[in-house]
Amino acid sequence: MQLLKMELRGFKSFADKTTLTFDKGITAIVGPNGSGKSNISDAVRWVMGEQNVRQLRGQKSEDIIFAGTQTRRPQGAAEVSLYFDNSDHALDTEFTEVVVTRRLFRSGDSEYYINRRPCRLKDIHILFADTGIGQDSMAVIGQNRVDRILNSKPEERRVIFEEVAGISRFKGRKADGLRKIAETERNLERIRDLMSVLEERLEPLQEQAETLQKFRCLDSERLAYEGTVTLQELRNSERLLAKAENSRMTAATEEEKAAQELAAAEGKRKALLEVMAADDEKLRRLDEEAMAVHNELDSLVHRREACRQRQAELAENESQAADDAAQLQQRQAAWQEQKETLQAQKDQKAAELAAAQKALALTQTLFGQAEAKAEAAAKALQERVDANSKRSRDAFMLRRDSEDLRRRLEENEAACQQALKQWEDKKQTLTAAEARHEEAQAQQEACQKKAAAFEKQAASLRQTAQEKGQRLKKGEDEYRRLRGDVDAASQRMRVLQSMEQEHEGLGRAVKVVLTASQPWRSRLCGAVGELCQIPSRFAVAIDVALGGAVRYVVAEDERAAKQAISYLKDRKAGRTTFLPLDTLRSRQRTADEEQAAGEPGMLGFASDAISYDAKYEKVFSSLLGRTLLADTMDTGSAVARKYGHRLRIVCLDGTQFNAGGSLTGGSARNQEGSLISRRALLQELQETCRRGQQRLETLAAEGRELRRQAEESARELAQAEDHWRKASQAAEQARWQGGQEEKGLADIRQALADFDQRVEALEKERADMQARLVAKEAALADMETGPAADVQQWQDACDAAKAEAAQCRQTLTERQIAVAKLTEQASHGDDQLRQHDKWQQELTVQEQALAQRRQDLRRRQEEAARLLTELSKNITLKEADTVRCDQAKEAFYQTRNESLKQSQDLDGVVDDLRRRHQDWQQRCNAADIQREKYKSDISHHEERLAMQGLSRQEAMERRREGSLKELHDKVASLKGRSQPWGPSTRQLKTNTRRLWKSGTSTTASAMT
Amino acid sequence: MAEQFAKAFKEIGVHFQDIFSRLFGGGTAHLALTDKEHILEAGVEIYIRPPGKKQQSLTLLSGGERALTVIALLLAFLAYHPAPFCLVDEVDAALDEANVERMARYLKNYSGATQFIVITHRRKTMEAANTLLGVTMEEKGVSRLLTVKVDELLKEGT
Repeated sequence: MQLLKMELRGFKSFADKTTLTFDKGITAIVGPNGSGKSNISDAVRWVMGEQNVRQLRGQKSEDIIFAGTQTRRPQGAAEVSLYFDNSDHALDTEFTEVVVTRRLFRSGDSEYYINRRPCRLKDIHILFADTGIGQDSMAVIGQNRVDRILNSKPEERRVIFEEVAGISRFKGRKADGLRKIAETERNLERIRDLMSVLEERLEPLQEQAETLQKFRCLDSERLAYEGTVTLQELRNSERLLAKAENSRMTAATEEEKAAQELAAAEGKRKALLEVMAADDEKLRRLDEEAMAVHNELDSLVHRREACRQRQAELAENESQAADDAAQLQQRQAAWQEQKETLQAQKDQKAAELAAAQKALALTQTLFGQAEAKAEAAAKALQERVDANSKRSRDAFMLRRDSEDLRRRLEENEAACQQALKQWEDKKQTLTAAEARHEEAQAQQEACQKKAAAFEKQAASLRQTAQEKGQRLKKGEDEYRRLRGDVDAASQRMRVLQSMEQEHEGLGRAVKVVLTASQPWRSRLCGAVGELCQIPSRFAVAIDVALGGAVRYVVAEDERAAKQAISYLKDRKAGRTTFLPLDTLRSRQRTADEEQAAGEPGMLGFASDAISYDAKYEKVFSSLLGRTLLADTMDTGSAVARKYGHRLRIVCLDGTQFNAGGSLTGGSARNQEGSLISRRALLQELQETCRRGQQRLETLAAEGRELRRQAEESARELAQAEDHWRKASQAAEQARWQGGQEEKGLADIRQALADFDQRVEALEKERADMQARLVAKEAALADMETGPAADVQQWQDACDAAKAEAAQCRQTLTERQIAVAKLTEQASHGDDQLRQHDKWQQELTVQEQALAQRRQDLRRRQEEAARLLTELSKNITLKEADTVRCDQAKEAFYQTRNESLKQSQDLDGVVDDLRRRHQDWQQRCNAADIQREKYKSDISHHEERLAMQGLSRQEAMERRREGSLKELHDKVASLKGRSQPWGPSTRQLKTNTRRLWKSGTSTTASAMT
Repeated sequence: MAEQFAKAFKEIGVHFQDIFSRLFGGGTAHLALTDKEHILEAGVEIYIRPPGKKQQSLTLLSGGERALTVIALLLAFLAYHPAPFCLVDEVDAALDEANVERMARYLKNYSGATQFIVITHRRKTMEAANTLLGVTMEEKGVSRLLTVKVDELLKEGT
């Protein structure tokens, strides 16, 4: 059988149909976390019938169905199918391919299919049982299944084993069978109970049956009587019914007649009412007409009144307007007068202004002359003053120039002196600098020499340091290697020690005894193998020589040995041999043995080759005292032969020559397994460790020394390098200083040449200046001797002209002011005149407006008068109309009253007729009711007959004679006699029926 | 029935002991019934002693030891009666590299009779597989499948 493929649709994260194909061998399902790998394992378990949704990592069964994402809609159902290849018929079915499907809908319906045919979950369990992939098998190990297997109770774990062992199918069947048997037994028990109850009841039921027979006889008699009574009553009712029908017929014909009469009267009355309604309509129209005429008249009167009022108002307005016109004319006259006065004033002012303007022109010409004079005087004065000031300025300039020249001459001389002095200084500096330059060169050479020496020293030191470093590294390598070796050895040693402490390899019994915490334990010395020290060279030989005796336990005395033995017995811990020191005896060696020990190649007795506490002398002499040690197998065999095979000889490679000629040998056992070898190994390891440790210490000391030396050399090297650096620095500095000095020298030389030039220039300049000074002084003397002009005279003339001009200006100003004042007054008069004109114009406009208004008013008055006359005419016409309407109305009212009287008469007739009709109707109804009553009586009697189980025919046949009352009495007496048996018979019937039913059903179920 | 169960139990016990000590590289393990008189009702107890440790309760084992124990038990079952297929979901998560390799080798040994479906993140286990099925989630919340047949690729490669 093989799993071929698996189809998932809508299962958890597999929204689309997904098919996984499985080949033989291993299929690995891989993918990032949360991609849905485990959903595949969930799917397999789900198909195999997993019922617990929590095991499938869900909360409710719906969680198994694809729940939808932001872009996909949820699925309605989840479906998983597993396809198995069943060509080997491992599954108990004839199909060669088996498809197992499980489907779950959102409604919660779960369906199982085998080869697309619906089935039960149990069928799937049965199908897979004992194939190794059933319900409880280990076929699917989920992520938490590991813990569930390990943490579950032993009884739960058993289920897995049953599945594998192939008995779970039988177990299921057995449980089913047991359950069915129990159920059948329970059913049988119930039937037995029921039967005993039924049998008890059989006797009383017999008696009751007889009583029933009697009751039936009486009851049939009663029935006959009752039938007779009912029949008679029925007949009576039928007779009465026929009578009632007759009376009803007469009432109906009468009623019909009355109804016809009533209809005729009603028709007449209706015609009359219609005529009256038409009249009403006409009257209403007349009323409306009259009302309209009256309203119109009222409105006309109102309008006439309003017209009259308006006429009065207009007259009043007219008189007001006349008043206003008079007033205006008055004001116009006043204005005219004022205007004339103003015109006169204005003319006067104009004359005055002309005079003033003439005077002003005269003054202006005078003023012009005076001013020209003053200006000429001032100009002449200015010329004189300018000439004077120019001369004094020139003199001052000359004086200042000569001063300046003199001062510069002095300065020049001082500069010459200073330059000479500086030149001297520089000369001195130059000589000093030359000396310094030489010195610096000498120093530079010395420094360079020193630096070379230091460099050589540093190189030699570096080489030494390198050599030392190499040596140190070598030492360290060795140290590390050794350290590793020692650690490995000590690790192994610890293991061996712990084994020894736990008495490993001594056998269970010895271990139990030696680890016991009993009082006698202190008197046990330990196992033989643990009590001696064996050189590793002899380890194999001694191991062989001791053999099983290695595990013997040495005790202080026999009592301790016995106690230990009983302890072992109690514990059922096995057996071992004890060697009590007090009972043990050492063995005597024979002469042969002593002699053989001296043979070449022999190594003496085994007991002498090992070391032990003197206390155990007896133990080891008894065990090994007579065993000889040989170096090789050949030696051993030679000696054994020589002494006639009476000796026990053990060779170093473990070959043993026994007394009697037999020999034992072969490859040695695992070293750790054997106690002796282990101990020897341990010892050896301890020795190695100790030696390694010592060597390590020496190496460490050497390393330390070397490191110290290396440090020292490094220090010296640093020092030498430092010196070298300093020296070369100094040389560099000296060289730099030399260069600097040289540059200084050149500078100084240049400066000296400059000074020479400068002194020369200064001297030339001085000569020049002296010449210019002489010229200037001559010019100045020349100038000072010239005359001062007559300024004062010109000044006076100028002042007089100025005063005259000022006076003329004052007069001019006064005249100008007077003229301005007059001009202003004239313009003021003009303004007033203009204002007057404007006001006058306004008044004229007002007058015109007033005249227009008055005209308007007069026209409206005429109009109002015309309207008034027209209105009066209309009113007279309307009054005539009103009177006509009222007359028409009066005539109409009279005809209307007549119609009303006629209608009232007709109403009385109709009422009478209607009463008669109702009376007949009532009678007819009464007859109907009676008829119904008799009919119901008849049907009631017929029902009673049917209830008594008789048809009319049968009742006639069983008829009994007698009056109705006698018959009633007879029935009552018969009823009284059969009464007591009635209910009990009914109960009896139901009881019987029930018992019968329960008995049959129980039997049926028991049969199944 | 009792006889069949006893026989199966004994054989599984032997296999388990053998596979356990080989998987752990030492140590001992055996299975025992809690009540030997009533074989059909008795529970199953597992006794484990990993190498270099004393016998321990199952609850005190480390994660890797637990996984190895269950794998040993599973392999013992398969040795007794090979199941048609077996699905293991990340049992190798707690194992170290050496043990993963050992487990993969064992699975390979048994894969002749039993089909193994292994859900895993470990490279060594994937190396042992004949077919790789990759599950991805390109669209959020929807798994997709990708199949790689390692054996066929190897054949093509050679």
